[in-house]
Amino acid sequence: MTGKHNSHHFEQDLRIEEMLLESGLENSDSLHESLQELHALTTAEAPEPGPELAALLSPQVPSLGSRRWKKRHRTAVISATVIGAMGLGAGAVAAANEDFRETVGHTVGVLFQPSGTIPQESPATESSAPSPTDLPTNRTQDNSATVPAPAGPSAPAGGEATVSPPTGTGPRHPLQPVEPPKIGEAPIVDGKTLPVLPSPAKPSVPGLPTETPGKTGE
Amino acid sequence: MAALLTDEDLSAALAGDPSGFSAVYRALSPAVLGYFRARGADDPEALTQDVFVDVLPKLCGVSGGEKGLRTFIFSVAHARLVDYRRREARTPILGEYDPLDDGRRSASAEEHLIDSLGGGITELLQLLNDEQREVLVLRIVADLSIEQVAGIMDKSTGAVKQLQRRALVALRELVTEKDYTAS
Repeated sequence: MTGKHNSHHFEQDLRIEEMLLESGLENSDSLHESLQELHALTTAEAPEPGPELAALLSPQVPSLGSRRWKKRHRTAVISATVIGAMGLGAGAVAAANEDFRETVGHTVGVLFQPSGTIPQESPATESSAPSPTDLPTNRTQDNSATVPAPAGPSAPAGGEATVSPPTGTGPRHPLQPVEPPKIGEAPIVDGKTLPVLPSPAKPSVPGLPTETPGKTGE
Repeated sequence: MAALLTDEDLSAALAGDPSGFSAVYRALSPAVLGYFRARGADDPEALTQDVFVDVLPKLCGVSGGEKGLRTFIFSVAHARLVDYRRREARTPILGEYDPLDDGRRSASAEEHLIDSLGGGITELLQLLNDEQREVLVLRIVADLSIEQVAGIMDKSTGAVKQLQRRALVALRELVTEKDYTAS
């Protein structure tokens, strides 16, 4: 140890001499002594490590990093697990039940549809909802259009069905009473059916359009 | 004298193995403590601890062997000292006024400081400017080369050589003056 100690001092003396030579001050003994005194400020022993440093220096300290990470992100992990489980459950229900898919698709469509298109959709649904009543009317129209001669007896049924309001899409227009000319298509085929069709259409048609013009007029 | 660092300990420490940390601390902490003492820090032991707490977990990224390790540790020590000086400058020092400590009436501030503090090397170093002092301490206490000091201080080697020369000339004048006043 003393040999190493002496060699270290010798190396340090050489370094100091080299520094003095570089600066052209090699003849200053007092300066050399002062620099040796400066080097003596390095202690012989390492200072006693504090608790934090001692924990770093001891090799068998288990790392707490993973535990700290788990503790910090516990809520995030739990919430992610819950959301994943809910998603899986919803997917299973959707796969098992067709009605569920339809209702979900409908509600999603309603939710994400722009607000301006919703009122237009309601008449469409109305036309689709009363489909059992409309179907015979459409049939009557078709019948009247294609088969004019036997339409005679079926014409009153077509008149009762009041086909014109849905086909005319007239609830918005006050001129809807003019639409009966559509029904007047039948007279093109046969002139006798003309007076029959307008008469049953009148009681039903004016009722609907008169309300809407009144509203729009206000 | 500080413990020597073996190649096995050095390679273990640079590989991030905690078994080498203790050897690194035993070998280099005396020089770091001497660096803070020479720079006149109030609590050099605490600063030394801070440096090693900061440095040891990052040793796996150090290259260049013992020379690179020494440069890295004293780079951190230098940065810590700069932070310490800034913090110290922001904190006002309050004290009573003592006429005997008032250097404005003395003929020579250097004489007054040398006489009142005993004229040790640390007190002489306080009379140099900060960069000159840093170069001398890093070269002698930290045992670093001109190139290593230039890297730590972010200067060219020519600038460091010039600073070293001026520091030695100024220190020689102070030492000569001290010897003259003592005799």
